[in-house]
Amino acid sequence: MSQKVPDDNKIYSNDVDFKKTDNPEAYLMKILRDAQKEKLKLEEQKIATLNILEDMSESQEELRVKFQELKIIKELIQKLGTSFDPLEITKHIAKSVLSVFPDIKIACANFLMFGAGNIKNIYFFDSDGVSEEYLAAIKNNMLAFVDDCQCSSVDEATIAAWKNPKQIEFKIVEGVSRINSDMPLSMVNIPMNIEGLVCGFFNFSLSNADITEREIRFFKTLLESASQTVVHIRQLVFSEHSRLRDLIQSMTNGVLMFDVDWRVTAVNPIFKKMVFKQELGYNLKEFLDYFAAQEKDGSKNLDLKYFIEKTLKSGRPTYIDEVYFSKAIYEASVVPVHDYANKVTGGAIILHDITHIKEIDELKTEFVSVASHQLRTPLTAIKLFVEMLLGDGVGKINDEQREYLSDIQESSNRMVRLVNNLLNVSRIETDRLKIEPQDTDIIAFISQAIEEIKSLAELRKCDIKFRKPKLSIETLSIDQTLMHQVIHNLLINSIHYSKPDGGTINVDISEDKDHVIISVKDNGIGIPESSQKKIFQKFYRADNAIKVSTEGSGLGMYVVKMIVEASGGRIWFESEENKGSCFYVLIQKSGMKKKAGEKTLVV
Amino acid sequence: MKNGLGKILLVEDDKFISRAFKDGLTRAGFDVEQALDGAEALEKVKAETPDLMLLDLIMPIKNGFDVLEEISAKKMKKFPIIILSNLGQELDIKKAKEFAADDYLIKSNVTLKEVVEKVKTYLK
Repeated sequence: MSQKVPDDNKIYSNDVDFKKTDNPEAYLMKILRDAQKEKLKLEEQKIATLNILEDMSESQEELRVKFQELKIIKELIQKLGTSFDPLEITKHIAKSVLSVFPDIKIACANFLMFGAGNIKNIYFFDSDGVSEEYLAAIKNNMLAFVDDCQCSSVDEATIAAWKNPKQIEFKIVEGVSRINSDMPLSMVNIPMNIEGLVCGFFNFSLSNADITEREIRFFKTLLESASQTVVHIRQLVFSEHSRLRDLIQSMTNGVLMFDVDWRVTAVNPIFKKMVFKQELGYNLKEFLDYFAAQEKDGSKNLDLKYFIEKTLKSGRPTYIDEVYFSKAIYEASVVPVHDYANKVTGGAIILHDITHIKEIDELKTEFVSVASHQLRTPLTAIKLFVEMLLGDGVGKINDEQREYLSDIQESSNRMVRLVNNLLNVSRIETDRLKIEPQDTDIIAFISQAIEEIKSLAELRKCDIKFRKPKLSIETLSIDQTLMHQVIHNLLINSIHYSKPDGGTINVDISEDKDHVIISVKDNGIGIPESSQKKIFQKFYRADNAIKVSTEGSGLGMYVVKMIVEASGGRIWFESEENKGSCFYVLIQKSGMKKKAGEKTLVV
Repeated sequence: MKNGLGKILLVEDDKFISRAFKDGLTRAGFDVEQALDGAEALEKVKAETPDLMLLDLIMPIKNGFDVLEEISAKKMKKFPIIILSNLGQELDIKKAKEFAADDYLIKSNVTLKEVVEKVKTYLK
């Protein structure tokens, strides 16, 4: 509305020219007339002003509504930003509309965006509820709209469903279907486009009034904003998705992802190559049954279903040692997949091919077995023949021959010991060594070990002294084979590295509250400071030790340390070059730690 | 021809080791019959009626455990059996003894003298 401008542009004035007045009466009349005119003019002005004011308040109201609408749209966009569930999106849109126009009834048919599963459904949102007749009227209206609409992007199944109205079901999302006589007075259908494709449409209806142009404009704006947001989310999701896909595709492990309904959502080429030829959407359970039935050497696969259930429930990954498939061995793990709200939305099976590693492992075991049997067999023959030659049964030999034969004998004995040591190291390193502690009189046990080595000690002019203290415990739980190896190796070393003119070796045993400490102390060549850090390393021999004797594999201390530490004990030493060394072995009073395994040491 | 101290069936697939033991045992006064694998050993158990058997475990055709099993199953064990093997693990020893082996010597650890003495204790 605009201000009303008087037709007469002439300006009236109060300045009356009295001199020109001949007839006062007429003059007065004129004044009155003028005043009347003036009054009318004022009235008009007043109306105009009121009109302006009215216009202003109207546009202010319009602004307020616009502002309210914008606020609703903004809220809607925010809500859409945190969800990608189609029904949730529809709900958010419906709620936004209802918050501005509580009387409106909304029905939504969405097809493309929300997948084939929902094409037959119309979601109906209404806080009060309507009659079946109302719903039928809306349905017909929507069907007519679909017919008119140029939905070229709609697939045939969807169109077929729409052509057969019986297939279309109403899902009441809010409110209840109830009997009342209201019928829609006005209806409008507005399609929702996403990236240029019609992906669904909304039907807005009112039973008590006409839907105004302004309302339609609002609905359109709202849907447009919503679809823009969805597009934006889609782009984000797609870029994340393609990043994830690239990552999965390029992984050298087999990856299969599934959702909470156990449907396969992603499989990478490696996984397909390994085990799985099925397509996406395939139900994983059938495959897992097949998988669990696979066996190798009579042992069946673990049922991965159990692990998947566990992971989906706990939200934590589970690791399975070995699974078999098509003659290959895999290390399998099941990891959970979370959504933005840290809710578990599925998981992934990751297969790591360890066939090759297992093969190498088997080769190693085989080698160890070959070493054990094939290397020791010829050595045994050599030993036996030398023994016969050295005995007098095959005729007299001269002193020089005897000396050579003794050297052969010693060398073959050394060779046997070396093979045995290598076998032991291999057993320790492959973690196949079992530790079987049993209650043992530790003092008698050490005395026995000393006794066994006495002849060697005497040969080297070494005096072994064992102080046998009274201990608070009668027995200590030790693995006798392993502990014997420890004590034996320590004693052998102390004899070997005593000074050429002999030495004294002090064996002692002491205790504190929780531990027993065995010590072997010699006054031999000692360990140079530069070698002390390396003394427990495999194959390491200190420079001064090599000078004393080239015999020695550098495995003795390594084996000792491995045994002691594997059974929960500790080992350390004090040493000074040319003065001697003292090695300490600490064992818990609770005993050596038991460990399952298949092998003990070769002695 | 009997040497007097008894007849030993020596089951060993390595011909050098077999020969060494044979010579050593013969010199010590025993009769020694050799078998180079488990199947031959079983034949000779029937044919030769040994007084004692020295038995290796890892052998071709039939291994030592097969021999023990068959001897037990057919109730042919009428003589002591001493295992002489490089398999030295507790499990192997336990398994062999379950199959009625009387003793267990680890080949690479024993001397000829020790074997002769062990045999003597069984054939007193």
